[in-house]
Amino acid sequence: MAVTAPVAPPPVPTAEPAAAAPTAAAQPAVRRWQVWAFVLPAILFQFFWGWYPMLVAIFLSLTNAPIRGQVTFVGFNNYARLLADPLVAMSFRVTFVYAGLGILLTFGIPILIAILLMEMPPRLIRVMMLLWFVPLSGIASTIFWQYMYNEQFGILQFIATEVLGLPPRAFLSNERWVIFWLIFPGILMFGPGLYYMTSLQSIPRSYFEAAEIEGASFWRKIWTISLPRMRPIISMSLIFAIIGSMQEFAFPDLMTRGGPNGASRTVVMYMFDILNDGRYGDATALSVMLFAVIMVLVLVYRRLVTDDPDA
Amino acid sequence: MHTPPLSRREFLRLLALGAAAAAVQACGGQPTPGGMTPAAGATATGPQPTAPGAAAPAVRVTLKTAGWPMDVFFKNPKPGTREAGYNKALQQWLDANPGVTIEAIEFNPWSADALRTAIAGGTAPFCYPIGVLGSWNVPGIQAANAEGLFADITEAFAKNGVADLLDPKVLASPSRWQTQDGRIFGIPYEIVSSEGFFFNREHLAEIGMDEIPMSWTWQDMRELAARLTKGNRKGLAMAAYVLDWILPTYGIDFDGLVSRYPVPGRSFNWRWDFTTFVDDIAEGVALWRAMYFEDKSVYSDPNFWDFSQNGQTAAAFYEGTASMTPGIHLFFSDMALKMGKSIAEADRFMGFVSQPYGPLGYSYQLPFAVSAWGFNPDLKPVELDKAVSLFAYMHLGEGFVTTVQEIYNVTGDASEIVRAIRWPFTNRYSENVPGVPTPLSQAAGPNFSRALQAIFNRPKLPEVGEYIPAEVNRGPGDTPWYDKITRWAFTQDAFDVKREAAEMEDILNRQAKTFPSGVDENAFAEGIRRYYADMAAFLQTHAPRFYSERFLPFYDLRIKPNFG
Repeated sequence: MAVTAPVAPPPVPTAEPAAAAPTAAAQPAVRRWQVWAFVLPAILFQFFWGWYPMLVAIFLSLTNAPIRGQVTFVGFNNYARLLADPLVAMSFRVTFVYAGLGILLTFGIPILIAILLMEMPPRLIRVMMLLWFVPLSGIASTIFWQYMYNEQFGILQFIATEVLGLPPRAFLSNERWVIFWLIFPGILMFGPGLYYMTSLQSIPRSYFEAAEIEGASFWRKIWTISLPRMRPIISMSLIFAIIGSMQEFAFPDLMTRGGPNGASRTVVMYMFDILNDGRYGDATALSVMLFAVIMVLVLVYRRLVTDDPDA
Repeated sequence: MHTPPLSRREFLRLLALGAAAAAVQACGGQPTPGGMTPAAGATATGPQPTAPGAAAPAVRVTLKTAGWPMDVFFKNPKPGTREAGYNKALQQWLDANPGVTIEAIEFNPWSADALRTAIAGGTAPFCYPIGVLGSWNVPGIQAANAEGLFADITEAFAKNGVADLLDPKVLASPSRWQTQDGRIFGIPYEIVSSEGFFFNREHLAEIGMDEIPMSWTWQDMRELAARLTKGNRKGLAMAAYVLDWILPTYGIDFDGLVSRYPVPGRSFNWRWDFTTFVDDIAEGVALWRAMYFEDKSVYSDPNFWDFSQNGQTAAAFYEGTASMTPGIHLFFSDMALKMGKSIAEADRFMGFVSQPYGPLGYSYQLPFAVSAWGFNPDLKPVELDKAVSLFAYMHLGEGFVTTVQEIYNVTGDASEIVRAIRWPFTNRYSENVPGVPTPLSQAAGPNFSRALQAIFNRPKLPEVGEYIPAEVNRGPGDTPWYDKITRWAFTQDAFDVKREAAEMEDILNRQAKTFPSGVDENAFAEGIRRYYADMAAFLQTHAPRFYSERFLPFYDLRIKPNFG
């Protein structure tokens, strides 16, 4: 196979002329083929599992989306129907509250706990990391929490009434508090705590020692060393948390089915309701609306937050 | 509106942009054989087409099945079990139908969205429960059929003589497996009686009662539950949908008799009225809340949603911490198995009573309805013929008899048949099976048989889906209804039923206006007139107070102006 030679030698010899990288044009064709061979699986995977379903969803949202039979284009009728549906607005409101409160409570607190834990003896740190990493089945923990919250026989009710002497509490049947009680287990069992601790452990000890010599206080060290160094992991976790919490489904569906009075019904849960009614066009339109909202949130986030702690 | 000559599948093919078929196949989640059913292998096959001595097969057919009730061979079944009998019967059918292979696939046909997706993608099993796709009611089932989700089996049904295999009562209840013009899209598999309550006989005896009368009301239920409550034991274990059982006996429901009314025109043909009889809603809600909060006679919770023999309410019943639990008669044998009791023991342990009536003598419950199985619309005529033949043979005909005889011949106990197969059947063998001397109604337990007989003999309410054309555009879902009834049942906040009922009505009616109607206006109007006329006649005879105090005012207000 022919190799294209440079048109002219470099005017000034460098210290390492032999190591000069060939230009793209100079890359052998076989090399380019190899590059594509490595990239193609990822592109195909992304196409079939990401872009293709998305394109189909966008298209179906403009049709009657029948299960069988002819597809009929209906323009933006599905979107118009959803915008006129009071339950759509309600489910977006619930989703924003769920996501906002969820991120606030399950995202911020583990950062603080991780930082504080790093001040503890190494043995305790290992135990906590183990506890955080205990693999718990989602369904099993949901059933566990169902019993915890049972308003007649649950442990939390027992603690409230028998231990604390409070009047009986409404947990999942209280519209104002239901979202908090759904998020509460996440505060106790939030996985990213492990990431935070790993991130903290990777900070060179010398940074803290230098700061201590300079007389930096405990909080000063957190603010100027720990948090900036954790920023990449916080940034990544936060973006996943935003995307994930906007698509919350399984836990509230199993715990409350969206009740009481729709107070815990997220957009994806309502989408599922619509799907179960056989309204595929409406359901895909709602999924496209949710996609657009998440996309806007992510774009805004990316504008506001950078990953680089030295930026 | 422009309707391009483009089917859904053609459209999907177009979108694939010529991508490699293998890649599409890999992404499509093609079901894999085996695993789901207790099968000896992934397939069950008759004599091979080329096997020496075997009859030359007329066809080569592969039927994909998702398990119960159409399993492939069970692995090493114990003699005298349903599984052993099933294997024998299946082998008989396969021997008589060379060239047919039954292949097990991993699939859950009880999930509506999974089933719809599988039908759309062409990966559905050869048969599946009709009710799953039709919300278990006649309008929903007819709509699902109009959408093309079930194959038309009229010819195969006739060719295989299925009508002759069915119980005459089942044959006379075709609304869940036939269209109004007589096209058949399903085979009856189980009889679904009205919803009701299982009760603990021992607990009942403690308060001096033997049976709960079938004519009881919800007020009776309240008193009974309170009397049965003792120490840690609750009179009733009930799920969160409780108001979806109480309010319909007032005629109030998402599709209630006096809370939903038809409207003429091109938009969706139904509207809701939860305000005219809002005092009834308030009364029903108050009754439940009195049971739950004041009497403390109910074990319940907002996250109890089970309606089966496996849920929390049933568990409380088994443990004896609740005296009554909701269910349908079909659970009887499952519950006996669950408790490790024989049928006779279960019959002595528990009784079954239908749902209580409303205060004006109305009940929306059907005494007798049929749960049917539909067939994959992608099956070719020859496949459909074999599919219908197989299903009918195994569950209605000779295969069923073989299965049952295996149980009896080994155990010598007819009640083991009832324990293994939910009784009564849709075929002609509910009472007598060839080779089984004991009548099955006797084997099923005298108390249980008597209760069922009383329920089945109740008069049948007209069902609107039997009168109006199938509406493919289904309209608003019941989400707002469930929102309100779960709130009213459990919230500890103050609430105003009248205001919230009006809010629910507004939401549903606003949603309804955005849906088009797919039915012929004249046919709809004609069906509506017949339906309300028949309903009026029924209520006059069987619920006269409800007729005069609720139905007539509703009719004059909502029906007469448009359809009178």
